[in-house]
Amino acid sequence: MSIGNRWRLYTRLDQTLVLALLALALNLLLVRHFADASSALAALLVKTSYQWCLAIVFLFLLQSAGIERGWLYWIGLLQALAGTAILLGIALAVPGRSSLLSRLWQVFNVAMCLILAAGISYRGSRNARPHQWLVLLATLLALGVAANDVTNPNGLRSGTTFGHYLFPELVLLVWLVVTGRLFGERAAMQADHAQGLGRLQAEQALHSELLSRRAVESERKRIASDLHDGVGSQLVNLIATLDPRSQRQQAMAIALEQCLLDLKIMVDSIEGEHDTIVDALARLRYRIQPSLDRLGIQMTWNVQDSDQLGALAPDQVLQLLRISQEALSNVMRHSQASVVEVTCRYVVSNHSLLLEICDNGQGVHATAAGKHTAGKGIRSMRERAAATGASLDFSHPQNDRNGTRLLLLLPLSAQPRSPEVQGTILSFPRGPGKAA
Amino acid sequence: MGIRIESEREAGITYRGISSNQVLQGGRVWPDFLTGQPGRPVRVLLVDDDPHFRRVVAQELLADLRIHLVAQGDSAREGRRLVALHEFDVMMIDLNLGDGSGYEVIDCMRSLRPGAEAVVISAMEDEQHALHAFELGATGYLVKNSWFGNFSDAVLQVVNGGASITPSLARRLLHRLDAAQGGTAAAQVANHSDALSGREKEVLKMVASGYTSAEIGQRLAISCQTVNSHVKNIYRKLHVRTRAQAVGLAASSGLLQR
Repeated sequence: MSIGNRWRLYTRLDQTLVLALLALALNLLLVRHFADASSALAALLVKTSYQWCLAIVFLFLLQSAGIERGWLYWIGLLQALAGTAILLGIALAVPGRSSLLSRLWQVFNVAMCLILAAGISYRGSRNARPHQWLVLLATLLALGVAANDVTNPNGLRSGTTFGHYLFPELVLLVWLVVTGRLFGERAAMQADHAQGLGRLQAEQALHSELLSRRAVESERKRIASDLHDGVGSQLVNLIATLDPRSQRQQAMAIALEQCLLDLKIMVDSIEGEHDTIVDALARLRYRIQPSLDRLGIQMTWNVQDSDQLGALAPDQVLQLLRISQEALSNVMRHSQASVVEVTCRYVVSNHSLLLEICDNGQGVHATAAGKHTAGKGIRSMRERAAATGASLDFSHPQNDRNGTRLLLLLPLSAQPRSPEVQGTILSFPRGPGKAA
Repeated sequence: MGIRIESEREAGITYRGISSNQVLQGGRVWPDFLTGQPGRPVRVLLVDDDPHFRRVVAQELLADLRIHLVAQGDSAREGRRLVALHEFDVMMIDLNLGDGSGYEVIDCMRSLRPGAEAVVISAMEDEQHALHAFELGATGYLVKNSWFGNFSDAVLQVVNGGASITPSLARRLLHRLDAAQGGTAAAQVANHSDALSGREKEVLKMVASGYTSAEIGQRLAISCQTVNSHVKNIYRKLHVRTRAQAVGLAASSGLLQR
């Protein structure tokens, strides 16, 4: 990891601590180096480094006291900049003036330090933090040391007062206490932090999942309406060009109508994602009734709505709808029936949904020509039924040796399942062969 | 959304003696007590801005002896002019006209020709538009691209008391008209007068469950015509309620001040 990245891992207080310790060390070094030199440059360097030391140490104290951005930070910055300017002035000015400027520098710095210390004490004492007293104590000590250094003409020159060596350790101690490392609070703080972070991440995940689900839904609807308007109208135009008097073209027209019908049913189920089973069956009937009429098949409709049927999850509704669609399509294509009866109701005795499709045709297994495709259709119906937890049974209707009876029983859960949960778990496509 | 082609069955005539194949593949039997006969055809006004579509519809209507195509228009302005100029029984009107929407012309028709019916044609199969059209007083709805849409049948059905309705539309109407509403006293009075009757609610629920008019009639022991007039009534209440809501809104926002 590069230094830059590593640096960003530290918190702001940690960063300030490092800066403060570096500054103090630098100052110490400079003082020792220029201990006996008396040139103006030496004095300038030492005092400038001290000026910025002051600024950084007060910055550290401000952050330790938990004071947010405010005018105090500006004061500190102002002190550093103005002080540096005055020092430059001292270095460049004539000797007569320089003593006056020195005086100015001293007074200015002491005043600013007083203001800062007062500010930190006032604002800091209003912040209810643990161990705040230590920070205030450190502030007072800083004030004392700084005032002493600044006003004592030898203080900076000769190198060190006791405070110079003591102060870095004090800063370190304040940092240890404030960040909880000293008294073992750090672990607790980290645990809290991790928990909060975890909660936040979970919420974010949920939120983004909701957003993506909504995006998927609206995208599906857009595709559905594009399909309907685009492909749908093309199919209609094609059908319109065919000649109803020609046998072959009529057969083609019927096949194209079937495509159109399937398209409409698919668009329906995309747009009616939250329909109940009764709504879905009603829609299906509405779509295929013209085909039934044309084939001369009479439909007996026996669908009884009730509140318990609303307990189905949207995915279950879709599967049952597909099963019904397949069954009715078989009736229209293979069975040569004249009557088909659809029953759907809630059975109280075993708390389940009953779906029954009967016809008086040849029976599913009888037709040789249709056997191949019918076999595959039945298999897919069984798979769909199994996926919803229903039982599917093929037999003959009671009064009829021929004919087909499809009976589906789906036990209903006690409470309606939340559509969100079901949607995420079961609506993902399961592979090209089984896509709805 | 196409119109259910059940004109014959709606008349309450049973076809037990005739197998269904014969009725559908051969010529349709049109009872002589229904409105729209070769001697007294139904007068139709057609307003659509697509000339190709107009040609197709006009061809079909002209070929049918039970229908007399009175005039054709190609814009909203033309439509309003024709409504004022001609007498007619049914107006077929596209919702998206070049210079305006079909809704205005329907509005115009309701005030100038209260006895006439409106069949709305739309390029999109959109329940929202359909509902709006019904709110404005239309009684029929056709989708342009629907193969199963037969224009003369649509016209004849509407003029014989039928009104197009689909299961999903029925469900929407149930929500709309059945929901109890509070609000101002004026609104409550309006609600009371055009709330759904018990019978109407039953009919709507059965339509929403997928039953045809004939089956509803059978189960409720009423005639097919009665079922259709219930549906028509429901649309009327929707129209009235929408109007009342508009008036109520205007009144409450201070637009109708004396």
